[in-house]
Amino acid sequence: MIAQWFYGRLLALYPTEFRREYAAEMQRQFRDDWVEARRRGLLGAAAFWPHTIADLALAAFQLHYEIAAQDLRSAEANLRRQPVSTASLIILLSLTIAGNTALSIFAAGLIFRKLPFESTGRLVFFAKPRAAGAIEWQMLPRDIAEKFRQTSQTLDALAFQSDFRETLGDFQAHGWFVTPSALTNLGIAPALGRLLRADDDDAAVIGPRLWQSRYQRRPSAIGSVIQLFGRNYRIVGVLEDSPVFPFDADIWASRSAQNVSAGVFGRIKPGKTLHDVQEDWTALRQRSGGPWPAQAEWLRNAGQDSLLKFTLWCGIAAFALVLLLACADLACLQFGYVLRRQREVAIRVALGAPRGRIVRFLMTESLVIAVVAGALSVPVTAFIVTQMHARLDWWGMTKLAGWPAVRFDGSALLVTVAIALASAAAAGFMPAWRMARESPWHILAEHRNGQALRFGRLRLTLLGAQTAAAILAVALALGFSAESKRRLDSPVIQALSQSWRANLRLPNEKSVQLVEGIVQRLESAGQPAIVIGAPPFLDEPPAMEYDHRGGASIRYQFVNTRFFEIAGFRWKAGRAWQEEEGKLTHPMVGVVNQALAGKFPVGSILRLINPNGNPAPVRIVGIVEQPLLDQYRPAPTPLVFLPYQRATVDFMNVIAPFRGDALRAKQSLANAIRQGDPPLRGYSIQDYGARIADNWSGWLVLVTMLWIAGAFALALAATGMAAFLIQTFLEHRQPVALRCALGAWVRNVWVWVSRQARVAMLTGAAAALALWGAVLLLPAAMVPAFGIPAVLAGAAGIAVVAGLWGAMSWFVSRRAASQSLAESIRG
Amino acid sequence: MKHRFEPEDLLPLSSAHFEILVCLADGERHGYAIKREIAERTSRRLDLGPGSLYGAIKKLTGDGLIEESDHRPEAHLDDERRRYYRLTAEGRTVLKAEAARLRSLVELAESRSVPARARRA
Repeated sequence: MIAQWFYGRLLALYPTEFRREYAAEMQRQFRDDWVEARRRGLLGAAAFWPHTIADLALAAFQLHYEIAAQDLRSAEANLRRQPVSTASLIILLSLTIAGNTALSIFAAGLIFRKLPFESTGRLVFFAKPRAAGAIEWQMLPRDIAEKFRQTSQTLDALAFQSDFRETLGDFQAHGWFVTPSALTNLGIAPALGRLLRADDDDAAVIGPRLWQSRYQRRPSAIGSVIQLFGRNYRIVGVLEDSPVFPFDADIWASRSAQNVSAGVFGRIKPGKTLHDVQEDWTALRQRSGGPWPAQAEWLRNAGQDSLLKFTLWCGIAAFALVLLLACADLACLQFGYVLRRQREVAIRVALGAPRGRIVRFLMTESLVIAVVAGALSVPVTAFIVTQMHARLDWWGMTKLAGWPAVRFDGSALLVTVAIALASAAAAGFMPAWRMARESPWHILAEHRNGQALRFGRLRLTLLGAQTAAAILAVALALGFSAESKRRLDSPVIQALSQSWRANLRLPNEKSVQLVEGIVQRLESAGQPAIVIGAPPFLDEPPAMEYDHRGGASIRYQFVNTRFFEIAGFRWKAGRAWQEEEGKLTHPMVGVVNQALAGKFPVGSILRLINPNGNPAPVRIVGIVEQPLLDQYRPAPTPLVFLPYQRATVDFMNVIAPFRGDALRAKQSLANAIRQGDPPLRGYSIQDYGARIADNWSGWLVLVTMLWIAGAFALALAATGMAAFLIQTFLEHRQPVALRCALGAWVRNVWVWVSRQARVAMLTGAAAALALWGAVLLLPAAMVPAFGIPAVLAGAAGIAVVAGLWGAMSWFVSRRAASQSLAESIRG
Repeated sequence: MKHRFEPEDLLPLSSAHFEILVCLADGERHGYAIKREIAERTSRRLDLGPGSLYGAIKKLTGDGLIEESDHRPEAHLDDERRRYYRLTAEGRTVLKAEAARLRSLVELAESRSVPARARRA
């Protein structure tokens, strides 16, 4: 009894039609076989089941295979009948699948895949606090970092680092001064010798490149000495492989007491969060009364644009939308297919074919298209990933964690298969189900009357969705491009794009005189220079409290008066401070920007509150209308400019614009710095324009993706419109011919067909505009400045899609009218 | 246009299909009787399970080689719910063609194996 019940359940593996036809007889045969097997004894009964299960599995597989082969032959024959639309759909779908897979590969590599050193917990570092842009190391004073190491409740194995570049003979070495725990944190094991120890004072570990280049991989490298910045370091270890991000370098030297500031990182304790680390740091800051702002960040995000994840998710969303549109096009094609097969389907249903079988039969065609498109997308995806990997290097992507792991591999193939199958299911199911649930007698009656089953509402919904997506994609691409241009059009960027930025590490004493000396030497060499605390577009100026109705926060920027001479600064009132005024202390002098114009008129006193709670009054001598100084903030934030002579900071920047000979200007800047007395603790000179471009890479990637998605969305909308027009004219062939016979011209036909699509297109446009408005919900750094450009972008999106519809509908209307009998007689 | 029936299109038959056609060449049988006869004739070397048997019956019916029969040879002995099958004219033609194919194969094998035996002798 149980055996028979069990066998009855197993019969569900057979196709429904077969089951309906033979299940009763099969069960009877099973019953007889089972009785006979039991009669043969225990062994006979035991041998019976494997035989029965194998028989069932083989027969079920064969029957399903035969049905699939039959459906595939039918689908292939049908697709061959309409080669142009099939080919264009396959191409579009394969490109869309490729785009989706490529983005998934990048997202997996850059966001989700664990780095080798993350296997035993994640590492956290302290970054410069910025609303957006590159996440960079914040250098912290050594004594504060040391205090944090001793008291931290949230981080283990705290390590300090600072990087350097040095020439060793003909080898340009990149290295890090690190504490011993840095290398152990990264899970590094030496190939020869040992790692750094706490008692090592002047020791170094070298990487494979330097070992090969300088020592030809000889073991005698251990114990030899290399000179870094005039100091000898003994090599105690050699690494076989260079550590992964972010410490890929040639030398790791022990930090000495002379390294007064450091980047700080450590392993987060179990159960602690990034927020806990931040609170831990803030508590220490408050206890120490120091002004060192720092933001706890995952180490894997070091050097990354903070908007990278957002950009990737936007790209994935955009391409997923495009994939949905491609599915909508495929669904339109399926409607046509289903309509052509309606009589056959109705007869099958009338003869007892189950609905599941009908759905499977009708879905096979979309499955074939999706599988072919998926197969074609594989080389396209591999090409896209390889090209993006190669071409994005100049955007500094190589510095990102996980970048080397981004490649096309087996998991990417699985993603391709999954996306292709999901597309087939999404596109094929609705038309197939719509047909399968229809009464066969109704379909046959309609067919006899010369009428086709109507998919009007569904088709109009698809057309509306495609219209909305196309308008939105065009508006997004245009809007973000315009916004990107607007933010990069800041006169400050124009003025400083050709300039060198010298980042000076100042000594504790006479730091102001040192900077003044550098500026004067540059002035006398005919190279006016700007002094600034936080370089615009790279670093965010620090914030300080000020005494205003109970206290508020304000950003301050130390500058020299040359800064205000950049085109784009306009004085609304007052003036810049004089040279002598810059040295005043009680009160200091300062200039506010337009965001503070109402609160602090010229002559008023702004009371800044130091971190130790003491007031620092500032007399306002001018109000300046300031251009954008941070491309990640759509409008200037409240800012007070203070004379750099009043700064008590470890770092200061000298920016030297140049015209013409860049190398000479760099040399001149380096000479002016080297002649300083007392000597600086260190300095670095960078191409300022290149750094700004690096900092904008997230936006550039986003805008590029939006344009690609926009092009796809337009192509898909065009395909969808074509499908709509062709099907509408096919369904209304007779009424159109009659209208033409009664004197209608092409324009009348065009007006008629446009009226058919009017509601769908207007709804689509309204949905697109609503979604375009939802862009306001994006993070502050990404929101385009809404105003005329946003309105124009939305209008341009509508115009492009309306133009596309107008051109296509006119062309198809003309063809439909010219093919009608009346038009040919008139001609 | 009606497709012209060509027995060669369906050859070679699988052993299960051939055995079923041979079984029905003598007259109508129901499924279980076919199975039993084949098992006895082949000394249980070919013991068709329900899936294989009815899968083959479906295929042969679809190809038009067998059909369901209303005639019940021993109606008083049988479960009236059982379905009987019989050979069609096309089925008989295909069976003959397959038998001829197998015969020629056997003859070929024998003609090649006789000299070998002679050499051994």
